Amino acid sequence: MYITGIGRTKFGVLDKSLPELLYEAMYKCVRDSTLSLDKIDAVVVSNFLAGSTQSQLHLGSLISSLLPGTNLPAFRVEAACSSGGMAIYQALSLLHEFDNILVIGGEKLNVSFNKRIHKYISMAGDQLRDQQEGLIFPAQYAIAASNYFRTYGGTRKDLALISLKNYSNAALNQLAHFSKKIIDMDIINAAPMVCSPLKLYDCSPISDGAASIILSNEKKSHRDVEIIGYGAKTDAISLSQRKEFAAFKAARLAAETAFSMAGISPKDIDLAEVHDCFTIGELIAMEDLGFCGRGEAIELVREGETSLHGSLPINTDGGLLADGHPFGATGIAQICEIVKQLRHEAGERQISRAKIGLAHNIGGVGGTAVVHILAGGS
Amino acid sequence: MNYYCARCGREWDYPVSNCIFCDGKVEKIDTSEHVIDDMVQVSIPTEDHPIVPYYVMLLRGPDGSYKFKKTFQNHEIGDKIHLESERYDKCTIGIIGTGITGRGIAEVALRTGNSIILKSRSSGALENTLDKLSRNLYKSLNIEESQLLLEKMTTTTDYISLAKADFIIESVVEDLKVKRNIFRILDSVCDPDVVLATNTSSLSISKISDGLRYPERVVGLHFFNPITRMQLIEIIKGDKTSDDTLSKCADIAKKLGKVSILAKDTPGFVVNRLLFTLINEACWMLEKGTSSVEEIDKAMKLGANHPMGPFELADLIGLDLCKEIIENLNCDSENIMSHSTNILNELVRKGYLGKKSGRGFYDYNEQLNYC
Repeated sequence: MYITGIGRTKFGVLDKSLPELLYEAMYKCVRDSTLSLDKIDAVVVSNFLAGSTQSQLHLGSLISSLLPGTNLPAFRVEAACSSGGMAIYQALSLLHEFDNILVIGGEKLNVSFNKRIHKYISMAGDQLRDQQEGLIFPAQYAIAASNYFRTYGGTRKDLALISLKNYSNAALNQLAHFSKKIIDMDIINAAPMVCSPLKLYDCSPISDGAASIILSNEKKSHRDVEIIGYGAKTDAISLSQRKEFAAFKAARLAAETAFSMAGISPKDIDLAEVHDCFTIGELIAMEDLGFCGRGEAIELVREGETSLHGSLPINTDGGLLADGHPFGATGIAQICEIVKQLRHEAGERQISRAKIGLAHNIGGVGGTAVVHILAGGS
Repeated sequence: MNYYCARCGREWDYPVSNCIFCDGKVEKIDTSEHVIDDMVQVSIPTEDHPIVPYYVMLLRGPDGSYKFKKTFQNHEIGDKIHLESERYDKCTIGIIGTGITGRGIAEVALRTGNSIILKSRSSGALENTLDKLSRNLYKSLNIEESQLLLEKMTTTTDYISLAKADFIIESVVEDLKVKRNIFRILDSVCDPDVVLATNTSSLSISKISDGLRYPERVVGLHFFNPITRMQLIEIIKGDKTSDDTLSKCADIAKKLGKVSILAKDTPGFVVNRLLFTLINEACWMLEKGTSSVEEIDKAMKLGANHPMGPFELADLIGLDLCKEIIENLNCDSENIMSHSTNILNELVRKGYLGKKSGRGFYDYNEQLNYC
C-alpha cells in the first residue's frame, strides 16, 4: 500500500471556510500525485467538530459538492484529535475494495468564541466523568504531566525544551501556524498558566486547516512512499478509568502492532511525527513508542537527540504545538511531513538520513491511538 | 470502579446489570471515602465552567478506582475527601427574601453554579435585586459569564413556584409571626424531603417549626454578612430536626463553598452569643467611662488581634439590629448576659443606626470620627 499524493493548506487562524480549506488540500494533493481525479474511486473524510462549530455534518456529501460529477462513495471518520490517523487507517482497510482512495481531513475552529471551543474540545473526554467535573482538555494533560513529574522526575523546564524545539522547526515550515513566531525561554516562562503545570506554550494552538493524501494499492511513481506497518487501538475514554496516567496503553499496543507488521523495531525509525498536543504528550509518546524506556525521554530531549540534527528527529514540521492542530487534518498532515522527508523534499528542514518514518496520532488523552510506519522509495 | 462481575471479576464505572463477557451478575461496590492522588488548577474559563480558577482533583477510592471531581477549594495531595455531598450536585435552591442577606445567599448560590428560585413579595423588589445582583457579578466576571450565571435564576412572587426547589432558605425579617406564617405555607407546598431552612440569627427554630406537618425538615442555617466573603454557616438543630436534615445542610454548605458548624437551638447560637456579649460589654465599659470608643476598638484590635473593634463592628451590623439581638439574648434564663445599655438605646432612638445611616458610634460622614 502506497501514498501516491500529498497536499495541505497553511495551518493557523485563516479566513477561508471549511469547504474552501478542504478543496485547497485536495487540489494540492491531486496536483502532487501522478494520478488524475478520475482514478480515485472512494473518499474518506476526517473531521472532529464541524457539527458543533459549523453546524455542518454529512461531510461525505459536502466533498461530493467540491468534486462535482464524481459521485464517489464517501465515509466520514471521527475519533477526536486522531480523526485524521483513523481516517487513513480506515482507508487502508478499504483498499481491499478500492484501488485509489482520497483521504481528506480538515477543521475550521476559529469561528466562535473561545470558551465554546474549549467546551467542544472537551467532548473528547467522558461527559459525566470529565466534562461535568471541569476536566477540560489541557487539564487532562496537566494530570498526565503532574503524574509524570512525580513518577519519573523532570520539571517544567524540560517541557519548555520541547516547546523551543518545535517552534524552531516550525520556523522552517512556511505552512505552519507559527511559521513566523520567534520564542525563547523567557517568553515561555513568562506565559500565563493554563492548567498547572502547563503554561501557554505547552499547549497546541486552535488552528484552521486541511490536509489530504491519496492511498493506492500499487506504486505509481518513484516519489511514492510505502506504508509498511500500521496499528490502531483504543482505551477507556476517561483517565480516571485507567491505572496509568503518564503512559498511554493504546499507543503502546498500536505501536507494537505496527512494528510487528513492518518487521522492524523502534531503533530502525529515522524520524517520527508524534502527537504533541501538549509538550508532555511528546515525552509520553517517545516512551509509548519504545524509543526509550519509561522516564528516559527527558534525557533524550535534554541532549537534543530529538532536534533536526539529532539521532531521532521528532516533529520536524513543528508538531501540533507549532505547526498547528486542526484536529481533522492533524493526523493526515503528520503523514504529509513524513512523506516529504522520505522523498527528500523537505527543503530547509530536510533531515540527512530519512528512510523509515513513523506517525503517531492520539485521540483524547490516549483513548484512541494510531501508528503508521512509512518507508521511502529506493 | 463501582460495578464488578461476581463471576469473572471484570469492572465497570457504569450501572451494568449483567456481564457481557460471561453473563455473570454484576454487583455494585459502595465507595465514599477518597484520597486526592493528584490535583490541577484550571486557569482558563470555558462555557460550562466560567469561574476560574477552579481545581480538578483525581480521587482514588478504597478499591483503587479513580474519579475526577471539580472543586473551588484548594486541597493538598494526600487529603481524604468524602463524596456524600453528591446529592446536591445539581440542585435548585429556593431563596425567600431579597434583603442584603437574601441577595448575598443568591449571589453565592449562583457563583457556585447552582440554579435558584428567588421569591419576594413584590416584583419591584425582585427587579431591584436582579439589578444589584448583576452589578455585583459584573465586578468580577465579564458580561457573558455573568449572563450564564443569571440564566440559572428564576424569580417569583408566589410560594407555589418554590415547589420545584430541592432546598429552601428563608431570609425575611426577624419576626416570629412572619416566619411561622411562611413556614406553614412551605410545609404544604414543598415535598417532605425538601429541607426548609431559616436564616435567623436569634429566633428559636423549634418555635418556627411548631405545629408543622414535617417539623423534622426545619432547620436553622445562619449565614454571616457579607455573605460572599464570610466562610461560616451555623447549622441550628431544633428540637425535632432530623439527622438527615442536618447532613443535607452540611452538604449544601459545602456546595456553597462554605464551612459549617453545628449548634443547638439556644439564643444567639455560637457566634452571636459571644459577639453580642462582647459588643454589649463594650457599651457598658463606654457608659461607665472605662475607656473611649476609639480606644476600646484599638485595644481589641491590637490586644486580641480582632480585625475590627466592637464599636466598628456594631456600626457595620447596624445598631438597631444589635439592640434587637441583645434583647433577644436576654430572654434566655440560662444566659449570663446583662441588659442593653442606655447609650445603645439612645443612639437607636436618635436614628443613629451605624454605617448604613451614616452615623452610629462613629460618624461616617466625616470618616470614622467619634460622635
